[in-house]
Amino acid sequence: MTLRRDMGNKQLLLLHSIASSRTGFLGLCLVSAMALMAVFAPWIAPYDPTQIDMLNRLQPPSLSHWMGTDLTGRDVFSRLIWGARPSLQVGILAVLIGLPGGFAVGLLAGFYRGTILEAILMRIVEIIAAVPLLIVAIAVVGVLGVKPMPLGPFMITNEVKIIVVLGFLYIPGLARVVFAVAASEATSDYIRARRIQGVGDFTLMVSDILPNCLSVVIVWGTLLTAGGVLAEAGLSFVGLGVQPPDASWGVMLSDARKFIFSGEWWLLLFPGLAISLTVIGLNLLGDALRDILDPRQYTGPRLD
Amino acid sequence: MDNRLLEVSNLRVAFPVGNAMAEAVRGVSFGIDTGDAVGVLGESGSGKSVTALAILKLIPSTGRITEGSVRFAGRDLLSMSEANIRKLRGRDLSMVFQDPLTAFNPALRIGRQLLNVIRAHTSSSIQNARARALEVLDLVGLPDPARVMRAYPHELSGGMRQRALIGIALACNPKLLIADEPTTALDVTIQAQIVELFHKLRTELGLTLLYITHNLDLMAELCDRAIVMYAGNIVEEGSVTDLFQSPRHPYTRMLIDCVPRLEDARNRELTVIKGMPPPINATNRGCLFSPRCPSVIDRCRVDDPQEDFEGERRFACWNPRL
Repeated sequence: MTLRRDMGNKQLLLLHSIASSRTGFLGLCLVSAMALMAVFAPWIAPYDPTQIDMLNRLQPPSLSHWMGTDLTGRDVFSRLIWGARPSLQVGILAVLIGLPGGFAVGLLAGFYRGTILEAILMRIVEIIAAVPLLIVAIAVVGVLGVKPMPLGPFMITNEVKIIVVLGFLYIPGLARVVFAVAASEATSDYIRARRIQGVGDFTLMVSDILPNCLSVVIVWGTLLTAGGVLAEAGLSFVGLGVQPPDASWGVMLSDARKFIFSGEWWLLLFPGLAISLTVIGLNLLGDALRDILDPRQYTGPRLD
Repeated sequence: MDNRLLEVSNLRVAFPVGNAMAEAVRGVSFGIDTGDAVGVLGESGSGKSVTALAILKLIPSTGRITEGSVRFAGRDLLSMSEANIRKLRGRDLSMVFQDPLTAFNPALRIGRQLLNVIRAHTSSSIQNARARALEVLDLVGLPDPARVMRAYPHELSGGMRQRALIGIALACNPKLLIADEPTTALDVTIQAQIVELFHKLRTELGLTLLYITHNLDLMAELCDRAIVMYAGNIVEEGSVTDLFQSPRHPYTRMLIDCVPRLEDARNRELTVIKGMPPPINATNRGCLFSPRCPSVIDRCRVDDPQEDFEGERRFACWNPRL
């Protein structure tokens, strides 16, 4: 009965629930490890990730270079750690940019289902969703160029461009999951009850329906983060993302592609593993969250 | 007529059935004075709930109010704009529902839902709204209101949920409370407690109550006057004592007979009203109850029954029991 009472306890309980499923625990560990790497990169990395050392080029893994060195003698381990930054930045920030739009469109369309507003919003969503994500990102960066662009007092770096483009392209997916929940909640008894009690449409949408969408959005957002990590790696690989010499897993793979058959396996293995483990971790975490985050499935003690 | 709070006259509500419109409420008229408790009795599908929703102008979106007027505190509700009527709903006109579980948002704490309603109608600060919320939860007899505020709906028992729902309905001091079968989803001991609570609210707050039910005993305990509905018509209206002691309409009589009594012989067969209520799109002439009526006469099948008045009571029957 005292369980779940205090706000502080609630977050702890969520972590506890995630950790108590085996796959959820694995996902949490992988994601936390990557996040720690990204945050504390300057303190963890043993070398400067852009430091060229031509004398020690293409060294296999050793005690001084745990993951070996690349074509120009840079430390692969340090580059790997620094490479977590653009990956997670793009993955997370793109979702955060897409969320408000997805919520706004999904809630409005779901709440006013059957009206002209819903028809217009959802048709636009379908048009955007029909275009492949990576193609649009490549096209936008291709047109704007990879150089930082000044915008008033700000410099729009290439990474920011990618984040904004991905965030915009996430809106349809998020809008659809919000729409699905909102449309079914909008016809539920409690919404009718709340109307009878005189509560207005805006309050109903924001205060009543939105919290019910949170669990699916959190799950979907986690999976989209994994998509963003992949998109960043893909764009960097084709040279439209993070620009060399800065480190990114996509850039590292791109540099390594000449060595696929020549025996320098460490150049390919480690960035490939980093991308895979991050994406797997986010997916496992998303699945675990989906199992947990439904208050209606909660079967704990009741307050009687 | 000065303290007449609600005046419903010749209300008709229609829903599409197939290609045609069928009437769920077929010309209902009644009034409620301030401080009254009026019960509405009838089988499922007799138009009780639709009448209540039509008073709030909130019938399901396919339906339409085709005729009639609803005057509440001197204002015509049916011609009022949506924005204006929304201000009345939940403040002057409140409603309690049958199933207290589905009437709550499962994802929000009780407190938040209660505060949303209070703040939709008053411009009071969060502190004042919270104080008011605790006050009404205490008023409806919930122990430890602060704990209830923090609870999710599924953490409360059915009786506590219904009390909380009544609390929401009372939060803005409504002039009229409509209770739509508030005890049907609860077990018998809790039913008695809820009726007790309504009793207390009536005496302490002078609450005006429209109580929709098909439970005669609870209604008799709570209400002064009762309206009996059948197939969208009011068939009889009168004081509860009159109705129970000398029902005029055969339908009222049979409803009363249907309730099993403890003193009945054990092997006595339960009384049932034979047949089914007419379908919503029935258009046969004459009294709609005539196919099931034991005291039917030829005229019942031909002419629509006209209302007879007898002091405080009225009934629509060609062959009343006198």
